[in-house]
Amino acid sequence: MSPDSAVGAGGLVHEAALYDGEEQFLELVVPFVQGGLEAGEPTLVALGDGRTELIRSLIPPSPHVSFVSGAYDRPACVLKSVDTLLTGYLAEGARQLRILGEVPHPGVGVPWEWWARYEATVNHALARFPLWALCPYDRRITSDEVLEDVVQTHPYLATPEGGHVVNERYVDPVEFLAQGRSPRADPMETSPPMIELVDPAASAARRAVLDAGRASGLSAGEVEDLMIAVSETVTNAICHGRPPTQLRVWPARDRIVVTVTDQGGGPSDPFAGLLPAAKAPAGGLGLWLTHQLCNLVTFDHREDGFTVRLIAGNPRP
Amino acid sequence: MRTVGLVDSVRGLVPGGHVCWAYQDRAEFRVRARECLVDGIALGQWVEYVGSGSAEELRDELAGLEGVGQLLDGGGIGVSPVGDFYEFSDHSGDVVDPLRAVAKFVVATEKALAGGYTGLRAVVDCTAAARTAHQRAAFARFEYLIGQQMSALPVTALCAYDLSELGRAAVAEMACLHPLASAGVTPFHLYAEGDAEFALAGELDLSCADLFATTLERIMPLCRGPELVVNGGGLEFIDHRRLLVLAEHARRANATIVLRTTWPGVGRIIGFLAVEGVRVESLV
Repeated sequence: MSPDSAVGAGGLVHEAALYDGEEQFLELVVPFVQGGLEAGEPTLVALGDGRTELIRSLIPPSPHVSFVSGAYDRPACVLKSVDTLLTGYLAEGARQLRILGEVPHPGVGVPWEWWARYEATVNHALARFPLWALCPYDRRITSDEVLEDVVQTHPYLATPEGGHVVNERYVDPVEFLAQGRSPRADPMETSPPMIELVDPAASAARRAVLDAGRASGLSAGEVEDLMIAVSETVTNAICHGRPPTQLRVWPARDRIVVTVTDQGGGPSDPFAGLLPAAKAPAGGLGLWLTHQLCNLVTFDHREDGFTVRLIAGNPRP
Repeated sequence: MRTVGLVDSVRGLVPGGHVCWAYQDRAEFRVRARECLVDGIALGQWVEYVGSGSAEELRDELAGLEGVGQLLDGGGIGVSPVGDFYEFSDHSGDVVDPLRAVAKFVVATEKALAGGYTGLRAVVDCTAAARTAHQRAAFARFEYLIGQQMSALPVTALCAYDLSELGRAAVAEMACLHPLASAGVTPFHLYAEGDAEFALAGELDLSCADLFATTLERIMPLCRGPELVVNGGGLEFIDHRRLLVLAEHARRANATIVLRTTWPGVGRIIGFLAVEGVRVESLV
C-alpha cells in the first residue's frame, strides 16, 4: 500500500511505526526503504544507535537512498535542514519523497518535551511536501507518556502486518501544542541557583551566563551560544511577558541550566521556537534562534508563570 | 587611554581622539575642559574653547581655569561662541549644516598647522546645537563626518553635552557617535573609522533599540557603495533584532554590509537565521 492510497493525495503522510522487536522493526522499515528505491523516490534514512548501518547493509546501493547519522540533534535545526533538503529534491524534479527517521526520546537517553513539539510541528511545517515520513518507535524502550504523544502527533499508523491506517487518535498540532504541558524540572533545580536575578536587563543576563560559564567545564563556544540564547529569552520576557521576570542559573561541570520565568502566558504562536515566527522577518525570531543554539529548550506552563528552560552541554544529568 | 569605550576622564587624548562627555553641572564640565585644554597646550596644539554665551563670557570662564587662564594672552588659545564655530543651515539659524561645518573645521585646522601649531584641539559645549531632534539629526551627521576627517587631520575634540538640560536619551543620541564617552551614557559606539564606513563597538540589544535605529537613520544615508564595511573589532554583543535592523538598512541602500568582527556570535546568529544583507568576516 502506498502513502497515496493511504491518504488519497500526494501530501504529507506522517506515520508512526510502533514495533516490539527487531524482526518487526525490519518488517516495517525495510519495505519502506525498498519501496522508495524501486520507485526512484529520494529516500532519507536517519536512524539511531547503529541502525542506519544495519539498514544500509540490507539495501542495495542506490542513488535514491541516503543515509544520515546523528541527524536528530535539535528539532528546530532538523526542521530547517529537512525543509531545505526536500525543497532541493523537488527543484531537481522529484515528485515523491520518503524519510525514515527515528526521533530520540528518554528511552535512548534524550529528553522528550521538545521532540514531542517537533512531532506535532512536522504535520504543519512539512504539510506542503509530497512526503511519506515514517517514524519508528521501539515500544520496549519507549515510555507510555512518550507513546501517548506519538499517537497524538501522527495522523497515520503503520501496522505490523504491513498496513497503513488513519489514526483516529491524532490531534491537530495547534490543539496538541496548546495543551501547555509542564515538563519535569531539571534535577539541578532542586538546589539553590548560583545566580538569581529579578527583572534583569538582557546585558545583566548575559553576564550571569558568562559568570556561570566560568564555573562550568563548558567550552567558550558553548557558553557563548547559551549567552545569546538567554539574552534573547530575557528580551522576549521583557517585550512579550509580564513582570517580574526571574532568571536562575545553575552551572555544573558538563552543563549549565538556565530558567527564565515571567508571569505571562508564553508565546501565542503554537510553533514558537521550532519554526520562524509568522511575523518574521520583522522580528520574533528569538525563540527560533534559541532552539538552534541550545541542547535543550523546554516550555513550562504553570499557574505561577511561564518558564523557558535552556540547557547547554549535557541536556540530561 | 583606550581607543574605544567608556572613560572616566579626558586626559591623554591623542590627535584623532574624539570623546563625548555628558556633564551634570558646569563645575563638572570645567574640570573636563581643563583636563583636555592643558593636554592640548602641552602638545603644542591650537586649542579652541567653544560654548554657548558670548566670547567674553567664554573667555571669563577660561580665565578661571588653573593652568589655562594665565596663558590666555600668550596665543594658541581661542574662544568661539557655538554660533561662530559651526556653520548653520540657511533657514533655521540653529541647525548645523554638517558639510559646511566640517569644511570650516578643516580650514581652522589647516590654519593652526600653518601657524606652527601641531594641530587643533576643540573643547566644545555642544548643548546649544543639540536641543531639538532636528538639531541632533544634523549634528549627528556632523559628528560622524568630522570623525572621518580626524583619521587624516591632527584634530582632537571633547564634545560636552549638558545632561540636566538635554536629558539622558538626547545625550545618548550624540554620545554614541563618539569612540570614547563618559560612563553610562551609551551602550554602543558608532563612528567613522579608517577604511570602514563606520566602526561599531559595545553591546547592542533591546536597551538601545530606539537609539540604534535613530542613529542608523541618520548615518546610513552618508554611506555609499555596494559593500559597506563595518569595523566590528570592538563589538561585544549584538542581538538578532539589531542585526535585522542593520540588514534592513543594507536592503534600503541596495548594499551588503560586511561586518568585520572578532565576536563569533554574530556569525552564529546570521547563519542560524539566514539573515540576508549582512556578511560576517572574522577579524583575527
